[in-house]
Amino acid sequence: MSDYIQYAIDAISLGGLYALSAVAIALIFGVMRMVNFAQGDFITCAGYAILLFGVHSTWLIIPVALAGAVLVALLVERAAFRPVRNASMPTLLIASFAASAVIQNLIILIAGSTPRSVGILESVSASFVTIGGVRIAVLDIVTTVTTLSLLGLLTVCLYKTSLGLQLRAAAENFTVARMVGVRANRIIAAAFAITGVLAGSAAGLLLAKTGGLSPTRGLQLTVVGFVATIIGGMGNLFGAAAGAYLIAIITVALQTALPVQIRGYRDAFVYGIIVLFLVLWPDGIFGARGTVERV
Amino acid sequence: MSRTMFWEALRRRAVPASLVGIVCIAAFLGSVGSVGFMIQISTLLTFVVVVVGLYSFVGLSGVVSFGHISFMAIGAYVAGLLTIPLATKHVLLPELPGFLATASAGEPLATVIAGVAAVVLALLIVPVAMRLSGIAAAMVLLAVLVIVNVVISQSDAITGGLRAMTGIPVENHVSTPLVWAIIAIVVVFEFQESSVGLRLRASRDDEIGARALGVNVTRERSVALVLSAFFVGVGGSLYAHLLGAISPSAFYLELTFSTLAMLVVGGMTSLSGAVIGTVAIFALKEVLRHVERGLTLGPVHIPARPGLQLVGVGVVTLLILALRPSGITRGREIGLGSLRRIGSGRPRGGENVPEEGSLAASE
Repeated sequence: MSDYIQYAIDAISLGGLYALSAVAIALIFGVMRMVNFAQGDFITCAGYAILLFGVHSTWLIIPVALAGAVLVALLVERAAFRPVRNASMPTLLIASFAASAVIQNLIILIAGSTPRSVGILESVSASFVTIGGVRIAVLDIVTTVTTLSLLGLLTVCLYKTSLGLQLRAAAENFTVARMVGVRANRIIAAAFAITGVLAGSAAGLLLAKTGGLSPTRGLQLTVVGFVATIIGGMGNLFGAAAGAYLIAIITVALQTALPVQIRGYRDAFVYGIIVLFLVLWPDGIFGARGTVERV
Repeated sequence: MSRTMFWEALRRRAVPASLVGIVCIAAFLGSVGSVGFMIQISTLLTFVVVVVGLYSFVGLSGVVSFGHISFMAIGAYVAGLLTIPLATKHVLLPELPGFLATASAGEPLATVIAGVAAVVLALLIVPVAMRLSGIAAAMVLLAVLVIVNVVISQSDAITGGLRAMTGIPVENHVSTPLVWAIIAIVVVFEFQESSVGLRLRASRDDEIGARALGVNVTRERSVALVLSAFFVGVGGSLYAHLLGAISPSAFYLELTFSTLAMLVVGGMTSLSGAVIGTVAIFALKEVLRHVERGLTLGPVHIPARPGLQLVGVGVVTLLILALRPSGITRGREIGLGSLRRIGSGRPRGGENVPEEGSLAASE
């Protein structure tokens, strides 16, 4: 029994990390109709920002990671995405793919391609608490609490603030939103700043968990985020988060259930199962809203 | 056939003829230059095959694929397994199951089989991916890339796993890639001008409109994916025979990005764009590769700059997307017909004309 509780905790903790990436990608898709392939690279950049500045002081890590990711997100939006904002969906997809390649290789150019080890929050990642006979890593609790409160904050922001109202209006119909006074540049920059905050938080949690950093560290989170967003129904934030938790559950379940000899194939099975979900629900499990164009 | 129809048919064929001319000139230069230069030209022609293959799906259907490099990987590994000499194969991959251990083919046959193997993978993808919307199909194709990469990396007994598959006979003369480049250009051009190709392009330019006219978008896209997989698989075989050793990491997101950049920079919506973009990005990559390794120009020493190559390709791609979204060719075909249009500045189909009053870059 306690084993199953442990698996559930693993899945929830991993799902939280995936959800931070998926929700960010869904948010940008909502306002720009662009899958942001660079989301994972914002996470990598935040990691390198921690490596560069904050590694000595625990209290500096959070602001440094957040500031690093937000700065990179805003910079990329301004330099790479604003000039192609009107373009068709294939163009946007390739633009963000190109931006991702540029960021990764700039990191290689500046910091080298050798993987680094960054030990942050080591006191947290090494400690456990025992609740009702189950040993739980404190980091899993921290990850879950952080992700759930960030997702909660984002919900409050979307539904209770003027910025959130503008974001939702822009996601519904950008042209009409602009006509009623939503400023295009400001609202898209705000969306990217939010994804920066999500990326910075993800970077902190990821480094505390694994301690390893390389120029392609965030790539896997981009792929998971993209897949989760499609599974959840494009542009649907709750769907994206649910999709992320679903992928985490499948991953942890397969990690446990697969025999050791074929455990290496785990990710092939994960993505295979996800693709089968799309056969059953071609518009995503939580129904896509506004992805089918009306004429 | 009436006179006008004859001239029309001739004029139409000026497009593939010009493109074949370009690859022939490149091959000629390669065959008279040094061995090093010839290998570069052979690599360029191999990429022409891959990118023309990629174009026949992405360019004609408008669905972005992050998964085509998995066709290339399948082609490369299948060709490798067939052409490594039996004695070497026995030593390098002792655990190969039965018929794979004894199967053997010459390079030309192995290349065709490589293409067919890629087609088999495409046929597995078609029923799942092609009925989805463009962006969901793009995701499925990305998932295919991940799955194929994981499977190749983990199947140590068959592929050599994460270590390279070595011992593939090296075949770096320009003639083989030239022949395949010509075949790819001619076949893909005929496909684009066929009724399937026309319906596919109609669905790319206006999916709802095309559906309303009775175009079966799912079917046309499926045909294109299969054709496209064949040429990309063939390209994989040619690539394997250029390198002599292949590893799973060579066929992943980096190559996906390079080949898409070639297509986009040239102009995603024309065959000419695919060929010209390949030449342009390949040349840029070669120049940057030398700078990346470090240069000594007289007293000035430029230290090695790893990463520079792809930063350059990425920046050029972003600049093209921003300043000339339909690519170098502006999405048009070159050939005799284009001579009249030069200077008129009027874009033909495929150009992305921003709507008046849609969200502009400035507030």
